[in-house]
Amino acid sequence: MIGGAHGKILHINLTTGQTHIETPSDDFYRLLIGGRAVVAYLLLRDLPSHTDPLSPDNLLIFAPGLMQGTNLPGSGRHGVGGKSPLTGAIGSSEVGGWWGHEFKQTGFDALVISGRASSPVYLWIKDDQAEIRSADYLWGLQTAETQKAIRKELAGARVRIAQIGPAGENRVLYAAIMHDVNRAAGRNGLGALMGSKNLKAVAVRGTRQVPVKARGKVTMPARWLGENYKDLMGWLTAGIGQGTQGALVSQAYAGGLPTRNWRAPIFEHPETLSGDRNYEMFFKDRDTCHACPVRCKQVFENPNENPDRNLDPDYGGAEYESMGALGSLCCVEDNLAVLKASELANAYGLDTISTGASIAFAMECFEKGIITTQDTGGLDFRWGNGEVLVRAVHLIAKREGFGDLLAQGVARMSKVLGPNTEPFNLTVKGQELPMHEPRQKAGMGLAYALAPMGADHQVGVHDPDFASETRHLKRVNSALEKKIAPLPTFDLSEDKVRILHQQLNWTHLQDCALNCHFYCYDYEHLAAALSGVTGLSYGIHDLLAIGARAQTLARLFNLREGFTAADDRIPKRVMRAFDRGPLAGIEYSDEAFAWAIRRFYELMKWDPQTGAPSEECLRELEIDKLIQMGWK
Amino acid sequence: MKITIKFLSYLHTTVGVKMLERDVAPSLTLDELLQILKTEFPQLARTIPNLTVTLNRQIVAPQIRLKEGDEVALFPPVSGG
Repeated sequence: MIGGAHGKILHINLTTGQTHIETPSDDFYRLLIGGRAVVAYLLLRDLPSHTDPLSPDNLLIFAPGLMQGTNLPGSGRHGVGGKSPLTGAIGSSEVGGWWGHEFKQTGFDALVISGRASSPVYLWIKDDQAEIRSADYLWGLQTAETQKAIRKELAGARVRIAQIGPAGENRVLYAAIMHDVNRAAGRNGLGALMGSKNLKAVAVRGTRQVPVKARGKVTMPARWLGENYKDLMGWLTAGIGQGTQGALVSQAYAGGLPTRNWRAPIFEHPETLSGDRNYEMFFKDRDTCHACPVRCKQVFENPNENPDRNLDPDYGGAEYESMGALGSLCCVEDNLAVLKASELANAYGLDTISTGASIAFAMECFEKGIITTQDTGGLDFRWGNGEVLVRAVHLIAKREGFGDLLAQGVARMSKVLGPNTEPFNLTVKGQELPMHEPRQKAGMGLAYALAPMGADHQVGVHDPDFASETRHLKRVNSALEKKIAPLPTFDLSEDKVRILHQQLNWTHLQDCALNCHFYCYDYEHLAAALSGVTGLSYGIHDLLAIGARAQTLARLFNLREGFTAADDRIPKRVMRAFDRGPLAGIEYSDEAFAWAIRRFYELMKWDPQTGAPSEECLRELEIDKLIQMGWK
Repeated sequence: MKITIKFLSYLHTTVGVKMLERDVAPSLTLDELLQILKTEFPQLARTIPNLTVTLNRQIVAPQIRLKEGDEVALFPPVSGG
């Protein structure tokens, strides 16, 4: 048996209550390793095409990888997947914290849930055993209350819990699956999928050791990281360690902080939402994930009798994405309102990006008179209204009043409100854009278009990382014979597409290996770790092939579900130039963008017109072997 | 003439301050200011080529001449998040 695996996948059918254990081959683990590749493969194999994402037939998959449970620094993540209720494409969201490590120690490598329970239930998985328990008394509770109640019932403070809040129960199409209360598998609406199964939570506790074949090889990257992370990950760790929100002000100065639903070239007062300000006003502590010395998570507290001005430290703090989507995108400068909205997203189980984007879309509709206070139940959706921001999050999660429309996400709202709203429908494949500006980051714009999950910043290119002689560029060049020189951030040349090609394979690999994207590992470190864990020999190109395989499997799934090359595009608004600000004059022609997409297809050995993977691609990535293992 | 220099993101931990006010010679260029900063803060010398520099929140050519009241901001590449 390959190292890093227990050799067992647990399947549970909530309609029948039956479980069975699958014992995959070594090839399954060698080729897929975990996360997105496992999700895509299982969906292709076991999910009938064109299944309604909210029907009992859809699959909800929890998939750590071979490196979870090994204590490799940065391995405290896991993947969650299924067919996305938001997009209809592959749903694949990754999350940090402690759950993935704990689940892996139950003795299972993945969990596949099908069917629908007749009444609310939760799963209790402990050391090779799984039990379906009633969750009647938990239904309707917020996430911190649910965690407390389950831990009390199971008498275990170390029980780790993945769960939905009321938003998932109410099938908000961008509901998240929360882990440890404050870590979200946020994107793609997988919380709605979980809610459609009447599944409130998955509680896990394990003591099964994950087999590691050559511990010494895993120790090398761990030791290297310990010696270098403070220098190489300074943006997360320096000074008071503000985590990702520490980047907000410099993003704004670079013109990259999305503002007024991507319409304004500059956010005038970024200091109002800055990490410095949040720290000075509300900082209580820092938090971390399993096996991580970095501690990039913030914990905020603000005792206040008004529940909408109180910050509960159980829910942690806010990330950059949340400060952008709920803050600058809606022009809200009241940092407490933004932090409260983010906290409520954790409590109700909502994706902060899609929540903020949906509210920003509504604010633009309100500005243009497309909706009025008659539609919003009297709420004043003017730009910058922090009070309405907080109120809207409550309404979305409960699907009350105007919140029922907001709960459908931007693409569906645009269809309901009419074609004149299409110019401010800022989505790709139906998913709202994350908080990175394509006019600042051309490669990120291409990555948004190409991400099989819809717009996603985790599988992307942060172009400033390749605009000078950085460690990122050195890493990319280490796998290339023809080296690439630094490129302007707005460049869309052949070399930018070559960077994109490798970088997307790398980031998709990271979503299979489930190591933290923020970590400064180079190829040699992950190759050593994966080789040490499995007992196999992985080189740089083997690693990148895993990422290419995950991308290609996800693409095969999307093509099967009816997506085409025409869906690989970004909204026109983020391709057209601002007339002022740091990004003034930067724009992309339709032709230049389409050329770059086609060129990416060619580098992937996909058909340059249709984007369909070629026979050569399937053979080289050994996907033909996976097909022979059988899928529908 | 007086100008303001801001060190954003984690750069202030390299330099030791978040903001400076400086009297500089009239007609000093942005590039010349960066050379002065390299001398004043040798620890910046290695990173300056990788930094983004804005003048009054605009990205400008390094040859541009500074004016009274200008705000220069320096920060590392903005990624992640």
